Amino acid sequence: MRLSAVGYRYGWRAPWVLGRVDLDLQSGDLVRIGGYNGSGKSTLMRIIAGAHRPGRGTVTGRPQNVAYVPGQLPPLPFKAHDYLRHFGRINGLSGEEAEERALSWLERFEALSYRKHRIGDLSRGTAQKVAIIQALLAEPELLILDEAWTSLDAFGQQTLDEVARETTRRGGRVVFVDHDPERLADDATAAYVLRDGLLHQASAVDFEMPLVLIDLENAPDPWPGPGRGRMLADEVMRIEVEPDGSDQLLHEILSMHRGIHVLSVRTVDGRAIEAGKQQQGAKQGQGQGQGQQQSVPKQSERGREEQDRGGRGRAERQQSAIPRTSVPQQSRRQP
Amino acid sequence: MTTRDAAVARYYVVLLARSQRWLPPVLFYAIALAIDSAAGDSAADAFAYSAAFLLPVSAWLTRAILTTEPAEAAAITATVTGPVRARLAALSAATGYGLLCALVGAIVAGATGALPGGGSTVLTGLSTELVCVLLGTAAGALSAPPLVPAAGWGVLLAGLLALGLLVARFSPAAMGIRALTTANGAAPHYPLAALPIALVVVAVAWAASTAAAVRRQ
Repeated sequence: MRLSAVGYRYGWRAPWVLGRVDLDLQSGDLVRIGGYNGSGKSTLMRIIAGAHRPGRGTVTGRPQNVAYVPGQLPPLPFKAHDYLRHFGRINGLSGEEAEERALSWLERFEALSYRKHRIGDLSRGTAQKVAIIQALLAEPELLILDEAWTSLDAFGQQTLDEVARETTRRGGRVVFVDHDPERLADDATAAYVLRDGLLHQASAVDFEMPLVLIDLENAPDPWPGPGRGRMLADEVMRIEVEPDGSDQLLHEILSMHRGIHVLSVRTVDGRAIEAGKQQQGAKQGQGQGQGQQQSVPKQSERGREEQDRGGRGRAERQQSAIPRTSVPQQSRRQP
Repeated sequence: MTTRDAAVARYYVVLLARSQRWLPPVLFYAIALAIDSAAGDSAADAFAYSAAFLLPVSAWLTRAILTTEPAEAAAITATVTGPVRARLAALSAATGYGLLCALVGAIVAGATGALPGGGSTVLTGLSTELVCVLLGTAAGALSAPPLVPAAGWGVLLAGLLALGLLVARFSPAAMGIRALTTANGAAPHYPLAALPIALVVVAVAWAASTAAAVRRQ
């Protein structure tokens, strides 16, 4: 399957959210796609899934059997197993077969006892399991997981990891977006980062790449550089720049461009944005012993969060991360 | 239509039924019919009356079915079936609801009054009801997201389209209703052009709605 020069925008005069995306998906591929919030990841995922057609460019060779799992299943007025039965039939299964498969997947995700609950009454994690099972009923050849892990408990996350591996082993293709940089890190056959509407080849290191974000008012559009400029809402220009160049850039802005007003400066790293959310997730999930055990070691590595000042050195940033993490974990990681 | 297409349409039928958003348009229609059957007109007038209400009711039902599925759930459905089939299945489901209302209207019309003109009245009445249901789905499809994303403008447009299609001189709905109301006890002149024109209008409206849904949910 191949995406060639795929572009997408939300309206005739809107800017292209996706500029020119090329992507090759072979049988057995497990592909990670990263990028900041609003970089167009979900749009790209829906185009790969075939739920939307691209505004320009082509998608060829998409397999017959495609399934998509969104980050959250909205409250639908169906009971869980009724919803699954509908999708079994839509996938071409007979009523009995759909029922049988739905039940066995519900059992595997330990959600069997919730099958008679309305989806709207389920907890977010259990509803998410229903969304996942919907996608697995017909053994998809292309499985799109758009932050599908987000509200799952540790067991559910693990099961979904296994399912993704099984799908590729069966010869299917899996494309996923997730906040956890460790997610399927050993199994992924390729990783890309979506930035400014383009897909860049990425390695695991890319997800750690620190960046300084500078928000400016009255900045020229397009931004002449250095750094990458992007217009946000309310006429705010956001500049992304590597930390090494950030002091120089700020100095230039403040001394040479009198009209430009600096709204905020902060450091993020690929993981940092995600760490904030992961931490919240971990707090919610702490009642579940299993969840704590598994998420905490990752936490200590990823505990850095967005910071309010830019231009700090790496050492200082790591220091500030220490109070956020539990000391025993930290000492175990760095003996 | 394959069994898989039927399964998608069925999913939308059940989705609307469970969402209870069919209730306002169906109640509105039921009240309209109740008022009419109390008056005791001829069957031709009763057919015309129920057909006139079917148009906005079926536009309302169509808008309800096209707006009731949340975006993430719609993306799931569109992935499995393809966006074109998903949209056409939803529109077919809405047509099914409209036809059910039409059937009730026809029964009420048949039961209310004398049946002057016999078979010709029934034929013209049923055809006019069908035309009104179809045009209603056209109006609903054109005033639903993604063509009209804002709910307020969508409702306004659906209302104006329904009104326009009822009063415009060359509207197939108006042709049928005129034929029924001007019969005056005789057999009405069956409006030959009404159904073909309605089908063309519906095809254009459904195609526009589907084309928009393919690009954007």
